[in-house]
Amino acid sequence: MTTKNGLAPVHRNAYAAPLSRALTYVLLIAIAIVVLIPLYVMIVTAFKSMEEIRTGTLLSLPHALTFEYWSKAWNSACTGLRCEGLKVGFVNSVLITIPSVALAIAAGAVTGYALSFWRVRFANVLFTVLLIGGFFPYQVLIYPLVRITSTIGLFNSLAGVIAVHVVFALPVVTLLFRNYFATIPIDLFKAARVDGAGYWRFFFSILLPMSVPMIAVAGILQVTFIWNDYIVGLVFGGINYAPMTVQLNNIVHSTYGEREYNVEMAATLLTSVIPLLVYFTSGRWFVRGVASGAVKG
Amino acid sequence: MTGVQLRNLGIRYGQVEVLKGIDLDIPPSEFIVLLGPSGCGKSTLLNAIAGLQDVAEGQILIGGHDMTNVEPKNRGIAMVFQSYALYPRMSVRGNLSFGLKVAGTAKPEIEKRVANAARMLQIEPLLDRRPSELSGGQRQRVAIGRAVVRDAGVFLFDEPLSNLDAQLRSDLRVEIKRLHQRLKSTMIYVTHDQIEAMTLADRIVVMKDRIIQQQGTPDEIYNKPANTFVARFVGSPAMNFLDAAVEGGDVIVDGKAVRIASTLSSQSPLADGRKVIVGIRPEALLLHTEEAAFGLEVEVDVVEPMGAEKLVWCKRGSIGISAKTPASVTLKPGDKAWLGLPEESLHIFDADSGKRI
Repeated sequence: MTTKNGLAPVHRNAYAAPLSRALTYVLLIAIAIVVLIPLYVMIVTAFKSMEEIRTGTLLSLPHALTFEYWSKAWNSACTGLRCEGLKVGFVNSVLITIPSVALAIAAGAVTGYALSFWRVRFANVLFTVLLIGGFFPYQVLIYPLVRITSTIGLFNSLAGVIAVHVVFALPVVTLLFRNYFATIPIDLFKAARVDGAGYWRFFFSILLPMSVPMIAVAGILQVTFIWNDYIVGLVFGGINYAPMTVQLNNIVHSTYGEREYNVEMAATLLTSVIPLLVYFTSGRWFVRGVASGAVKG
Repeated sequence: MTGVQLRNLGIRYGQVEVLKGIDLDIPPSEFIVLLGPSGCGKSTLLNAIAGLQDVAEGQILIGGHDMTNVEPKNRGIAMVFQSYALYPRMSVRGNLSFGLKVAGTAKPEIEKRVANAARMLQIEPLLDRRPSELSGGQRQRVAIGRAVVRDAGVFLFDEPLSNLDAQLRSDLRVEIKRLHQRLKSTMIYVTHDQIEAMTLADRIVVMKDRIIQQQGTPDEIYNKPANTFVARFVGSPAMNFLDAAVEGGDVIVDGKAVRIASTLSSQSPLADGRKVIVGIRPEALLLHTEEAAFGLEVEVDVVEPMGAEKLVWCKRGSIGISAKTPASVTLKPGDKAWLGLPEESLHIFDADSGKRI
């Protein structure tokens, strides 16, 4: 295709060979099927009775529409000794996710701000250390963190889970904000200083209102990450603050007698509702933010 | 009215010296332009006066007070930036009033000053818009308005017109000059555009390589450049330079004797054989189309008609010379011409140091 005509790139697909277009579609559809079949099986199984499941027709539609197993998963499925369903885990996950995300964004934004607009001593060293922290597989740090939190009395508490989440989120959130702030012209900062704005005034009055897209991106990233987390919640939450993922695992793995596939599928779907909702409602923001801030630089 | 004094100012980035031994005395109400190529340190100097740049040595006095280590907001200055630097999430009104709000000014006073500045800069209809809804020229007006609202004794301009197109640039240039006549504040203006410098300045400070090359009125800078750098940097098209050697008090340019005796600032004649550079502005050259014995014979290379006048690029061997002629002169490439070098329009520089003799 020639690019001499400014319209050419827009029409490129229309002129592409029909065969290669067909192949592209076949490939895309095939991949979509491979990805979607397990999801389909989960959804239909969650509506089937155990008798129906035992017939082994994995792909067939359920005979009757019943929410019985969903309700059981939510209200009365047994997680170990307690049989109160997933709803306890849901509440725990909300209690963990909201403060963790809010604190991580607040801390990351302020840190990124300090590292980009203010000449902090050894700023580059600090930033490098932070980045190295971000690349560490966090499973490695679990044991030291257990010792630390138990020493300061945060082990087995909500505050402990939140603190650990914030610590793990800080590198990536700081990187996100620092790189975004680096694209903001320094003149803006200078103008505000001439106008008399200090550290916090510039941050709150000028920088934060400009950062709404970045806050959204960091929020999406962290909500999905923290909601989907298993190991931090398992280790630091103890019995009282086990998040939904941990309870899901308990339901699936600690059943005695017959395995209730329908209830397990419903529970799994319920657990993934929040991240799915976040992706579907804000996918565009997510892609835009990742493309503009997180990967660049 | 506030004057500004710089005393032996030095600025360093780590080990790198950016500015050194800058002494400058700016009397109240003066419009002073810092002129120089990019990287000469002029913007750094302006930032230092604003308090946005740490100073390694020396002193900055504003209104007679030592402001070397004072916060920008307390220096009694206002600043306008090349990139406008408007707060993107605030309306024009919010941009104008932000500084006053931070300073805790009473509401009626803020409204009065904003209205005043908006009227002065004709941005009243824009007050409720966001910066993203404004054109470049309007944005810079708002940025200037933000400075006016501060009611400062000293205005600092950091290449405020460089991002605008030619037409807007000349419009806003006049506007800034009018503003100065009206407010009578001290204005320090940084630019690399010599036309802005010539048209706006009471006094121009030409800078290069971290030091001040020359300071003087636009007239002095143009007519008595202190060295070849200033001579080349100011004036468009640039001054012509011809290598020459002294002989009998006058000089020989490419085999042709040229009288210079009366242009020298020093009385004593120059030693024979001394290498010099003869400078002459294109508009000072007298171009003859008929043979003139006193003239330097050249060949016309390119002719650029500019409406009221023509710019003729000539060559003599490897030497290129540009001359301005009235539009009525007809010449075409390849024609022969003779250039007269009027003695009183010549600038003589030392060939080694480049300094004016």
